[in-house]
Amino acid sequence: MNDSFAIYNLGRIPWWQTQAVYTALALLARSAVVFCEPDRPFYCLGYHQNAAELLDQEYCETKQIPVIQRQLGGGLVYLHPGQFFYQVIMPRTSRFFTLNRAAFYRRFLVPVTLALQDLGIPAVYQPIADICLAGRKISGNGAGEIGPAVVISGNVLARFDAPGFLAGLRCHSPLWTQVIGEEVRRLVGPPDGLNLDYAQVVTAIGRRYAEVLGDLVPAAIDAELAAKLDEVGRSMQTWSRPAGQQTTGRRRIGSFKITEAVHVDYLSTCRSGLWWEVVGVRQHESYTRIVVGKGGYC
Amino acid sequence: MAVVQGYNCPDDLYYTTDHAWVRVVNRNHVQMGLTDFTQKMASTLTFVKLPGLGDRTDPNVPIFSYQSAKWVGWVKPPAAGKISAVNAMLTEYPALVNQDPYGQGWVIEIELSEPLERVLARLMSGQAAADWLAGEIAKHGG
Repeated sequence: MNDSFAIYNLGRIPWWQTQAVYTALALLARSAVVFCEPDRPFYCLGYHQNAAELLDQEYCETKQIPVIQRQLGGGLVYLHPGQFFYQVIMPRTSRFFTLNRAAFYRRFLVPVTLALQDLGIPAVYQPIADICLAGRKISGNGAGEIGPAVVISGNVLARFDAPGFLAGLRCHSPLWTQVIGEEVRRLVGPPDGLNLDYAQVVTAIGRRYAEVLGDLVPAAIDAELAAKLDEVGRSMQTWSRPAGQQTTGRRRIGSFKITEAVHVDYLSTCRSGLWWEVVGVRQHESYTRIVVGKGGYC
Repeated sequence: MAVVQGYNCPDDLYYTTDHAWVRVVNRNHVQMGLTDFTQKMASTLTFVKLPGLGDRTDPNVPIFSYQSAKWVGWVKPPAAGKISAVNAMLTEYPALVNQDPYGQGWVIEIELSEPLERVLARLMSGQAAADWLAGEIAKHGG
């Protein structure tokens, strides 16, 4: 079986193509490694998420920040120039595919971690799908089945615009939003940026992936792929799903994922005519911080 | 119940190559869920996106998706027909699939529009299912 992987080194491309390209390659059942960088900031939702629930639509439209929904898992991310994307696409029949999630992520994220170490960044792989530096997430990843293929997509956060990310979030509760902001600033992105450029990252990760996947064959976007890219790209922008905050009588609950290990949970409940709010920072199964606030009349 | 290298594989069920199980409810209805092997490979499920009641099913077109460990997976239905019931509990508690994959973690029920015998002929059961699962365990490093 010919299992060779093509390598598409696309450089800086229109923002939507960064998500459409792996989708198109998957639908064409090709084996490929893609590197790219978006030309402008945008929000990108996981497949099972809801734009209206997580994002302030009016803000995004006023600021002209696009929103796209990828066909992979994971949470809401804010993607922008200075983030270098790596994506691996393979048919489900590939010998490199396994249903074992832990083994799959390890297979494709350890090489990225080693590549960063090659570049002098003491990165650490944090199972199941984060890469961290001094406890801060510097690479986020998602995966899934798209048509006949399987995809893993991730990025190296050479820099991360936390204020930009936070500005577009929908505010369900000022207290919840405040704690989410504190945790994002504490845990996501390198505080002073990484001294890396796109070409360095491509070379280093490409070399490490070649050790796993065999020689990568340089490729360019051909007519078939271009047509599929166009078709896929048109269908990915989203505000179409209705807001779906979980509401149970006079209680509201929610959870916002910061990193693989940390979530900011929210519970509000109506007691004696007032909303009482509890925001908890949950690390794995334990709460490391709990903030209680009093809301308006209910 | 058969146990294949630590994975439960009940004898009274049928199986698809998507690692889903199928239970015959009656001649016109089958129930479907994810196998013990699937849920263990996936780890804790965080989402199940269910089809709507009455949605048409086509054995070649995925009918529901699920997520675990930032991974989106899809499952095809075993038969042509329409959705006659969904396990709405899974929208709030997707991890029921992990806790009880062959019971409370069932996912959908289909009203068949093709003969039951034709559906079952496409599925695996008994020793054939156990042998196939053993091969999958070897392939995926279970």
